[in-house]
Amino acid sequence: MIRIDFNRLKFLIVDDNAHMRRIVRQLVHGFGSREIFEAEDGAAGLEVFLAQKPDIVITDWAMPLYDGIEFTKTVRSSDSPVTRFVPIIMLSGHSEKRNVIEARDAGVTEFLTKPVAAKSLYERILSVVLAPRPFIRTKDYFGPDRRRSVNAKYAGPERRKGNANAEVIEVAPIDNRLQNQRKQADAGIAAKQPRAAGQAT
Amino acid sequence: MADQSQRQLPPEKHFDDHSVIVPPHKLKKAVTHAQGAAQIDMSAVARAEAALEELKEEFGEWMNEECRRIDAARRTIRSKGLNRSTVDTLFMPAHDIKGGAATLGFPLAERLATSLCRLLKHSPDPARIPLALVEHHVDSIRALVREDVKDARNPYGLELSERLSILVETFLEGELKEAYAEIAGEAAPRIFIPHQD
Repeated sequence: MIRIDFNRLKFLIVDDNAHMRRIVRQLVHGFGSREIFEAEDGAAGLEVFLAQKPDIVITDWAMPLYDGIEFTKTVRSSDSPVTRFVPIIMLSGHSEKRNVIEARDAGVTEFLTKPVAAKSLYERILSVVLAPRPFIRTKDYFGPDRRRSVNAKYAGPERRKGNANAEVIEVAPIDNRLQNQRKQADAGIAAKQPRAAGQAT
Repeated sequence: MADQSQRQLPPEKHFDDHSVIVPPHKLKKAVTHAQGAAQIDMSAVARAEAALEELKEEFGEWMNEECRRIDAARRTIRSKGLNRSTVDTLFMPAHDIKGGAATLGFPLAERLATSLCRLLKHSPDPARIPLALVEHHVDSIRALVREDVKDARNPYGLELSERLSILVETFLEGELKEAYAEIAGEAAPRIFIPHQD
């Protein structure tokens, strides 16, 4: 049995809605975490982020003044290896496909649509803890690998350039069976959502 | 954003148009393996659901607060008219209800907020949004909360949300014309409403 010791994980929850922060805190606390920090917008979130160095961030998108996308871009543009690779789970009421793509392109690690449920949040946390993705740097992107699977036949304009290995990035998973579960889950997501025009790097 | 830690960045593997970085797996510290088959412990989900259950007594009052917020934003529109600023002011509480109402036990309020958000977000000219349509959405959300309608199959709530959604989509189609096709597929799916004799 593989368990996550949530006692060893620090969380930061960024959401302008106090009720939603309370709900997410209650869920994360229920998972077992005891170090949970909160902020009510992206700017305050950034301050807490730098001060507390959380292991995982759960952020809303739509917030006044400084939103979750700006927060994510700022974190990803940091020079510090301590902060720039931190997993960011975006928990948003934005459910349209273009929003998911925008969040992905800003550098979020996982996207979760509200209403939030314990199981779906737990699965996103499992994903970032057990099957972390490598990071990709291009001229206009820095963030987790946006490709969930390798399509060897893909020949579109955004195909990665380089030798054959440029398309294949393997990260040692905690357990091979987890990787298989992940692939099955991704296949399920892909079946539900038609692929965007132009597969991103 | 400066960080003074001065820790070394992980190595990058360079390709023609991109680099690949495999950061250290910091979160591995939290993974524990017990003996036996490598299944993932999902018991934490039940514990979190139980923890959320403890909050449920407060959910009704939380929804009332959300209703007061959306009502205040609607009053601003009444006094200042429909423009980008007032529409944005209404969008925030509507979006919060869209995201939170189902968790708080009001799934039909979420559905109404979803169609209100589409109206506010996709209307190209805020001044042309029918005020009555905004008013009906806000009043319907408040009515569902006031009457404590938590059943997603409540026929009156279903019919309200369905009809308002149709009005929103019809309005957006007229405003956006060909461009409506880009957002049409994102409309809430139609719900079968049983015929009432």
